[in-house]
Amino acid sequence: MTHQEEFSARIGVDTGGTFTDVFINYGNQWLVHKVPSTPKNPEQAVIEGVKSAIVKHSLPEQISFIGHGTTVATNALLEGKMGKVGLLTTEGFRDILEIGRQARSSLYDLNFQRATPPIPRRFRLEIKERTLVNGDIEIHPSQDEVLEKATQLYETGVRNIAISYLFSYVNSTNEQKTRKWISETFPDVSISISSDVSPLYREFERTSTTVINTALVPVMKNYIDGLSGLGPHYSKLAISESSGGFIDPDIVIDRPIVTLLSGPAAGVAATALLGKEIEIPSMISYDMGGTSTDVSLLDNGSPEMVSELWLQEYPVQGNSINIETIGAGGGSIAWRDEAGNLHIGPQSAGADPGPACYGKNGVLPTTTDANLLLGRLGEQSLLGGTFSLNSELAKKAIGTLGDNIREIAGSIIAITNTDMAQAVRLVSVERGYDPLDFSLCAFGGAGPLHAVEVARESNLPQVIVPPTPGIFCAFGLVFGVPRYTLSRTLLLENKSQKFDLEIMKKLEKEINNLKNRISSLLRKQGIIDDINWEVAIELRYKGQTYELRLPYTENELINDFHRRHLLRYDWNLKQETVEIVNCIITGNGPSMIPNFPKLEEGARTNPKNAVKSQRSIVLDDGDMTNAFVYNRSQLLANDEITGPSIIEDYGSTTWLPEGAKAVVHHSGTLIVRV
Amino acid sequence: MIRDSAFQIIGKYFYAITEEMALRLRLSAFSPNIRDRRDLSCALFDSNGLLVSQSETIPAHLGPGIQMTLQSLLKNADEILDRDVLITNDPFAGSSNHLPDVTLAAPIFYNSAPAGYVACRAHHADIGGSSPGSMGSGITEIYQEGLRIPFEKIREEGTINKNFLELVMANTREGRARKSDLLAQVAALDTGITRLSELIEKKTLDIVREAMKGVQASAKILMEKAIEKVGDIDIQGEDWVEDDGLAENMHKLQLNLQIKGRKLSLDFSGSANQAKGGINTAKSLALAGCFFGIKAGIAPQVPPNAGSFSPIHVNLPKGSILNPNPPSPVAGGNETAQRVVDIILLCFSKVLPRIPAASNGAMTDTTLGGIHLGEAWSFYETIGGGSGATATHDGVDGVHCYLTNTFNTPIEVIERSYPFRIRRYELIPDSGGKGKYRGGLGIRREFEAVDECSFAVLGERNKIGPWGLQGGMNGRTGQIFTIIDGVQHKALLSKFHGILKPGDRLRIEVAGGGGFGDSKERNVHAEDLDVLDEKITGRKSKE
Repeated sequence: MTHQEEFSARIGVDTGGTFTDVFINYGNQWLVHKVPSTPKNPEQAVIEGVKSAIVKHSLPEQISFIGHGTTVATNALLEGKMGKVGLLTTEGFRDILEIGRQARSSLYDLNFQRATPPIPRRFRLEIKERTLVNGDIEIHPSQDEVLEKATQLYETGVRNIAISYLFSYVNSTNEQKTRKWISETFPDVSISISSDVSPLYREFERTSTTVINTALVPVMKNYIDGLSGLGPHYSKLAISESSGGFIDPDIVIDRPIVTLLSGPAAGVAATALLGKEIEIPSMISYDMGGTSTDVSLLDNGSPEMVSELWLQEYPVQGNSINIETIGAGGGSIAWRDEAGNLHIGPQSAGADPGPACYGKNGVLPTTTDANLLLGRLGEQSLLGGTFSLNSELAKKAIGTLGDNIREIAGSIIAITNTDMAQAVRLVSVERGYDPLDFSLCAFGGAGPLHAVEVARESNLPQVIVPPTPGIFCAFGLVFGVPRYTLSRTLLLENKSQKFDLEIMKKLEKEINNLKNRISSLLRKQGIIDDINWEVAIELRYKGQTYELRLPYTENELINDFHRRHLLRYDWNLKQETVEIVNCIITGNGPSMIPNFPKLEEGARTNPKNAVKSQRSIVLDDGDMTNAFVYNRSQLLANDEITGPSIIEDYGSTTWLPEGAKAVVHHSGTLIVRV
Repeated sequence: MIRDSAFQIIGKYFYAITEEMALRLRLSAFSPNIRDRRDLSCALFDSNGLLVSQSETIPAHLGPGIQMTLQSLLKNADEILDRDVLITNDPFAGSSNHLPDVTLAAPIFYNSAPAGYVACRAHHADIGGSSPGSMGSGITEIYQEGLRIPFEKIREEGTINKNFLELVMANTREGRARKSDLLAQVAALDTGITRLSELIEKKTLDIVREAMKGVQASAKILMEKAIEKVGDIDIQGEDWVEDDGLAENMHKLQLNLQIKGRKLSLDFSGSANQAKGGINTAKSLALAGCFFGIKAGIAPQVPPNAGSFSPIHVNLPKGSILNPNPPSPVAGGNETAQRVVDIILLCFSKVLPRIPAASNGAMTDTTLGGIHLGEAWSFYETIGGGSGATATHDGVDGVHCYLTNTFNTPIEVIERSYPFRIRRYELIPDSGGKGKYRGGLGIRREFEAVDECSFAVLGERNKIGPWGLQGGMNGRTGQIFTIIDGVQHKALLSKFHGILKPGDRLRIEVAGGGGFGDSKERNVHAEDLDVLDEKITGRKSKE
C-alpha cells in the first residue's frame, strides 16, 4: 500500500444470489457490510451497498478503489437473455454455430435436447468469400452482397452484427472490408469481427466467442451505464475478470466475456493474497456455497490457467483461471434410487425453499439438514444466530430416506465429501500435481464445514480457513490488481532444434504489438511504468491438435517444450517439427499487500474463555459425544483447538473432526492439520 | 463395517479411475482422432474379468463388447504377469469391433494378489490394409482391412516389445503416430493400475473386492427393475441394412424381443447371412449395440457393468451379418450396429410411447488418404445427422446419435494438416421427417481435394429414411455425390469409394431423423420459425 492511500478506503462488492457483500478496508480496519441483492437490477444493490457502507462506517468521501465481481454477463448467457445479434459467415458455414462439435451432451438419453444457439438460423447469413489456410484470399467478398445481407438483417431489427469468416485469424482483410462497408451504410449498427474479438484458430470456438461477446455488449452496456449511479465513485470502479485481474468498466462494455468468472476468480485471487501472507503459496481453493462448489489450483501462488471456457455447450476463448465447478452444495438434495442406493444432487433446494431445516416449506432432505443432525451445524450457527435452523424439520426430511437417521445423515455427508474430493482430484492429481504439496483453502458458507474431511479424502495434509470465509470473494475484490491479457494465434513452425532468427523476429514483433496495446489499456487506469509482464507461449508438435503452455524463454523455448511434454505426457519427439501456436501476454499493475490483522499472542490449547457453547455431535462410528463450540472472534494467535470441535464465526462454521488440530495464525487464519 | 454409502463412495472412485484413464489417453495421444475426436474408451474389471466401471465416451465400445474382448485376451494368454500389457484388434480371435479399434489390457496385482484388470480401446486413424484409414469399401476379405493382431504382449513385465511396435509401424500409414498412440494407451493403463492400487491401499483389498461385487449387484437390481416395469412382452421387429458396397441388395435384420419377468432376451434368428462386403458386425460390436438399445430405451441411468447386462440374453446366429465367420470383412459393421439399435427401439416403441422416432441411423465413416509431398497420410471421421423427434420435442439438428459421439475435427485444423479443403458443413433443409414434432435435420459436408487422394464412405439410410412414429414421416434419406471435373455424379450405393483429383469434390449428405405424430397437429408457431430459419422451405410463413 502506498503512503497516500493509507487513510483512504478500498471497497470490494460481490453480487450474490441473495446478498450483495461489501468488504471495506479503511486504514487498518476490515469492515463487512451486506445488503439484499436486487436480481432484476443488480446495479441497485451495488450502488446501495457502497453508499450505505460509506455512511454506516463514516468512510471518507475519497474512495481509492472499488473492485466489483458481477454475475450480469453469466446470468444473461445462462438464461438466454442476451441481445439480438446477426452473424455473417463464409458461404457454406452458416450452421457452424449450431452444429458445434457435432456431439451430444448426454450419451444415453434419447430425449436429449441441445442448448439453444445464441443466434437463430434466420439471423445467420452467408457471404461468398474465402481465405485459405496460408492467408491467401481465394474469394473476395462483394460489397453488393454484403450490403444486401446487412440490409436483410437490419430490416428485421438487428443492430448488432458479428462477422466470423474462416481463417480470419491468419488474414483478417475480408472481415475488415465487410465491417467497413456495413458501418459506412449503417452507422447505427455496432459490428464486431472475430479477428478482433478472438484472433485464435478453431472456427466454431472463435465464432461462438465472437457471437456471445457481441450479444452481451448491450447487456453489459446497460449495466455499466446503471453503475454511473455511483456518482463520483464511478471513476474508481474496476471489474473483476476471469483471469483474476481487474479492468476498467468502459473496456468491459466491449469485452463482456471477460467477466464470465468475475466472482469466482476473485475468490482465487483472494486465496493467492492469503497464501502470500501466511507463506503457504501452493493451495487448492475450495468455495462451497448453497448450490455449487468452485475448486481451483494455485501452484506456488499462480492459479492454473486455461484458454477456453464452456458454458451451456458453447465455448468462449480467452485466458481464464481454471475453475472446476460442480453442482453440489449445502442445498443439494439426497434421494434413493430403486436399488436403495443413496445419491446426492444434482437437484438442489437452492435458497428458496432451501433445506428443510430453514423452515421455508422445503421438505426434501439436503446436505445442510444432515450437517444439522450430526451437530456440525447448530440451530443458531448461521449469520451469528440471526437465522435459526429447525432440527425437527431436518429429522423429518432425512427420515423419508430410512429409519436410522444418524447413519443416513453420516452417509449424506460422506457421499457429498466424495464428490468434492473428485473435484479436487480433477484440478490436482489429474493435472500431474501431488496433493501432498497443497493445502485446501476453504471458504464460502459451507466450505469450512466440509474441508477437513474433503482434504483427508483427497490426501491433502492441511486446511486453511481465511479470516472471513463467508465473504472471501469480496475480500479478493478489495485488493484487486489491474491486469489485461491478450492472445493471438501465430502458427509459426520450425524444423531445427532452435527457432531460427526470422521466426524469433516475428514472435518478438507480435509480443511487442500486444504489449503496446496492453500498455495503452493500463494507462487508462493510471498505470504507466509499473507494469509487470508475463509472456506465455503455447507450442505443440506439428500434427498435434492441442498445445502446451510455457513461460517464454527466448533460447530455451524448444528444449523447455520437449522437457515439459515428457513430464506431462510421458513421451516427447525431439526430432519432430515444433510449432508456436499462440502467444499470450499479460500486463499486471503493481500488486497489493493487504494489511492483515495482527492478533495478540494467546498460545493457549482449547481456551475455555473462547467457548461459547457445547453441543452433542455424532462421531464417525455413530456414537454421540459433547463438543465445544468456539467463538472465532475470541481466539488469539497460536491458540490450538483440537477436534472434535466446532469454530463459529459470522458467515461460516468450521468443523474439526477427531484427530484434526487447528492453529490460529496471527492474521486470524486457521491452519488445520487434518 | 460396510455402511449404506460405502459401495457408492468406492463406486465413484471406480468410475473416476476410468474417466481419468480416458483423459490421460486423450491428452497423451498424438493423433487428432483420439485426442480431438475422442474415439476411445476405458474400463475397469474385477479379477474374474467382469466389467465394474466404464468411462462415458463411445457407446460402440460399451459394456458387454469390451468385456468380451477382455475375456478373449485372458483366454489367449498362457500366463499374465505383473506389468504385462496385452493387445488385440482382431474381431475373431480377439473379439474386437474392427481392426482400427485397438484394445490394450493389463492386470492389477496388489501384493501379488489379483485385484482386477484395466483395458482401454482407441480407434487408430490407420491400421494398414488396402485403403487409407483402413475403413475401405468394396472389400471382400478382412485381409484387405489391415494388420490383424490376434494376441500379443506389447509389454512384458515392464519391458516394451520394441520389435512388435516396429512391426505395427511398418504396416500402417503414419506409423510414428501409431507408436505414440499405443504408448499413450499403455500410459493410460498404468494410470488405472496406480489409482486402483491407491484405492486398495486406502480401503483394503477385501473392501474393494466387495465394492466391485456391490456395484455389479446394485446395477443388476436396477436393470431387473427397469425390465420388469416394461411388463412381459413378445415383439417382432424388422429393419434393413442397405448395400454392402458391392451389390445393391438389402440385408434384413430380424428381432424377437421378449421380456419375461426380470429377464429380457433378444433373438436375431432370421437375420441375413453374413455379407460379402464389409458391413458385417463383429459379435462384440453387435452386443454393444444391443446393450445400448436396451439401456437408452428403458434404463438410461443404470451404470454399464457386468451386473446390468446379466439379466439380458442375446442370440446372434453364427454366420449371420451380426456374427460373421472369418475371413469376412467387418470394417463397416458400425453402420449395421446402428441398425441393431434402431430395431430394438422399434420393438420398444410398440409398448413405450416415450421412445422417439428413428435417428439418422448411420455413422457415415469417411476416410481420405494418399501420398502428399512424399508422405502417406490418412484422415478419418464420422458425420452426424438428424436425431429422431420425440413425443414432446423436435429432433436435434446435425448431431451424432446412438453408438457414436465423436467430435468433429475443426476445419481450421483439417486444412492445416491435410491436403484437402472443406467447402460446406451445414444443415440440410427439409431433411427432418414431418410430424407433430419434426425429425432433426441431416448434415451436408463437402470435401475438395488439393492433392490427389482416394476416399471411402460407409453410409446408411440412403434408400429408406429413418422411420417416423405415430403418424410421423420418415426422415429424408442420405446421399453421396462426387463432382469430378465439374460434373456431378450420384453414388448408387451407400458404401462408396473412389479417387479425387485436385479440384474434385465429394459431397456427403446424412439422413434426417424421423418425425413423431401427425404433421397436421404441428404447432403453427414452431412451423413459422422453421420457415423463417429456412429449416423447411416451400411454404411461406403466415406472418
